[in-house]
Amino acid sequence: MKSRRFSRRSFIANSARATGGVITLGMFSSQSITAGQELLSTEYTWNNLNEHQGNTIELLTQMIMPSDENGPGASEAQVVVYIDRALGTHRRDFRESYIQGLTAFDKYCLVAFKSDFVHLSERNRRRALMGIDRQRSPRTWPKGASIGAREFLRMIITHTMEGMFCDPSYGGNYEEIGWKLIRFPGRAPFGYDPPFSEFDMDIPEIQYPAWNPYNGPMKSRIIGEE
Amino acid sequence: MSLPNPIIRRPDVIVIGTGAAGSVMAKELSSKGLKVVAMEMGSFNKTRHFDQDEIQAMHPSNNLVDYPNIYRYDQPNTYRQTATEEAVKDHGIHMQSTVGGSTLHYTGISWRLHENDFQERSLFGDLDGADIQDWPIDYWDLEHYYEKAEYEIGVSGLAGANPFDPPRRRPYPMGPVPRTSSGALADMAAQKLGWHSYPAPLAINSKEYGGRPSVMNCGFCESYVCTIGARSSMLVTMIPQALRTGNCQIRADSCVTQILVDEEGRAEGVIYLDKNLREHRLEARAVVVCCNGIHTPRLLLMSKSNQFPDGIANSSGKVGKHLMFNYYQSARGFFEKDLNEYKGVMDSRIIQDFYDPNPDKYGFFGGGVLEPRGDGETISFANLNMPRLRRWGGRRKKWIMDNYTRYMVALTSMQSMSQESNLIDLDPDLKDKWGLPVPRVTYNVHPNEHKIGDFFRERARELLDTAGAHGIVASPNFVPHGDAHLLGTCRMGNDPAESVVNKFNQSHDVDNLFIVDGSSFVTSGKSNPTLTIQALAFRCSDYIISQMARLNIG
Repeated sequence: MKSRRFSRRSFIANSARATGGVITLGMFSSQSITAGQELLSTEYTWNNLNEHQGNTIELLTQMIMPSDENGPGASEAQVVVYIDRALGTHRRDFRESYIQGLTAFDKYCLVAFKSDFVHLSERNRRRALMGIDRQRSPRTWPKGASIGAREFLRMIITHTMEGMFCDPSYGGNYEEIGWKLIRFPGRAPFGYDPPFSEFDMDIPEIQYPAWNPYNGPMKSRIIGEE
Repeated sequence: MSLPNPIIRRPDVIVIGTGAAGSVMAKELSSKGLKVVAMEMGSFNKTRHFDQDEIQAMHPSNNLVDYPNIYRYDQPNTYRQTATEEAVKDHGIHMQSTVGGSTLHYTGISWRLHENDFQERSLFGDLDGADIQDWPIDYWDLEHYYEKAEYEIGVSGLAGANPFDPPRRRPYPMGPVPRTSSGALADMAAQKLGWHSYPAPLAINSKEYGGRPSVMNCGFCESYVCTIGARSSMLVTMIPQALRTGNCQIRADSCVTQILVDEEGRAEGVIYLDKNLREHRLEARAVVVCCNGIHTPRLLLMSKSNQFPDGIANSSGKVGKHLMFNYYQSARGFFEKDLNEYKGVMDSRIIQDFYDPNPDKYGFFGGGVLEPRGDGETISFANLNMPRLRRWGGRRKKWIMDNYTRYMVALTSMQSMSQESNLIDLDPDLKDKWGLPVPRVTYNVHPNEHKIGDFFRERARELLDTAGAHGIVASPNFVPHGDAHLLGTCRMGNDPAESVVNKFNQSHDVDNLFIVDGSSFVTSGKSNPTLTIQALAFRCSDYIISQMARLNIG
């Protein structure tokens, strides 16, 4: 990756250009760009996905962890950056599944909704995802695809959560957005002191009886001392 | 701190494996002046190579491959439920393949087996379809060695707190670590239910001990390597002590492929591959195998010779048989207020009220324990399968946000029944990166385990319910493909036709070959076998030293 930081806005705008300008900013969740968010003009260079694959994954991760009234989502956490990078490192074994799965997914969308995924309306995108969530493989999922529909979705969900909550050094969880969302403080190099919560503070410790050394008839047997 | 790792060309003893048992053997034997080479197929990492990083710590069963490679377990296996099926590739066997083994990341629960555990056949009789036997040793053969393990390795706990604990001559060397929120809730619920919750004995320092710091409650506990060395893993206890004697070499990245026998049928050394797959030969007066309940029998089965066509030490045909995991169940409950289980150790309380439920009353054999716990893993929490909750979308997101700090788990660890048909042998097709056959696991649960599972699932629910949890979700009965507890496959016994090692962990067939790890277990106990494995290793070391002093072996 050329740069760790890039602008969500310019990234999306560039994606839109690359896919023929069909994607407009408005099609993405408007909350994904918060007012005052830093706008750098660094472009993101894909490592393992091409532009179209990257855009499809970006949209999918946004539906999996949406930006909404409860807070930022996959888009702000730059989950797609995590996935793109991971496919060249610790998730390398999944790269082929992504490429095959994305091709099959587009074909499925084309048959079922008359367009590839990124060009579908928001409503149809949701229907497309529901369609593969419910069934192992919908009728319209390409025959002979090396990865099943549901398996494809589960893989992306799993990796979206990784990108949402991983250590930021992996490219996702940008500025610890995912951790802040769930109130996880992250690494704790110096640990914590009790109390850890109201529970361990308020619930009294049990008073245990004093211990007396065993002085019964049995003796511990020690080899070499018998 | 980096201790010199001397080159030893003519060892007295070769120890294969540097986990819970092998590290103790290496330290004990080398400190008595014997020259030891300890072989490890994984690499020799330092604590600083590990981080508080969930991606790094993800178990390979989650398909994490190749990077970062310090946790990597690059030994796949195959699995089938019954012998009539075709085995398929699987990652169910959990072990950390590095110097120190799985003690680097284990929960650290270190209780002693109870007196009854050694004599279940005599006390409770047989069970149809199972092969329950008494151990050839009893609790008093191990009591001294349990104590030695607790003091030399470093176990914290509170003697007298558990009314079901077996007798002990000394208290723990350290008091218990701070109670977590799940531990506090377990205390409260147990008291209401009339059960006895007590501080978990843990191989985690509660004060400065052995030159290592006290627990810092960072929450990156089970499945993480302790970044400050407060967990008494072999890498920070026995391994440095062994190196400090100057009599022990740790030979990492070295995979033993065969134990050699001479014409009299005695072990004369090993053949191993280095990381460039170059073959080497190393000879010694005695060989000790400590590769766990899967890889020990695998190595014995691979060590075929004219004297031992079915594998060394296998005249009984029992090597690899009687595989046991510890069956378990878990229930998860949610609360209205924060528990913050990302703080503290994984498991600070244990309940042993159902260690030996009366078989006549409950209709099943054996028992188990409750282990209330929690952790701070974010990714695995976000990916949890929950009933009636889609794994994606706004509702999932809200659920993660609302509940991440507000749940606990009641894990129940239980007994597995010894069955001869549960076994590990050599896969006929699949080879590992060393070119060796991978272990093939054949494993099915005994119907009795489902009965224990049903009983304990209800106890787990009861505990959470009494603690005030809502939305309790419990796991169903299942058939494990593998586990972290790998037991029973070279079991101890007095009868050479029915067991692999004698009561000193010495092979019945080969008098200078010793086998010490979970494979020695005759019955599974209720869980958490590590302290018993370590005690067996301390005891076997004493035996080897006494025999070598009398020139009986080697």
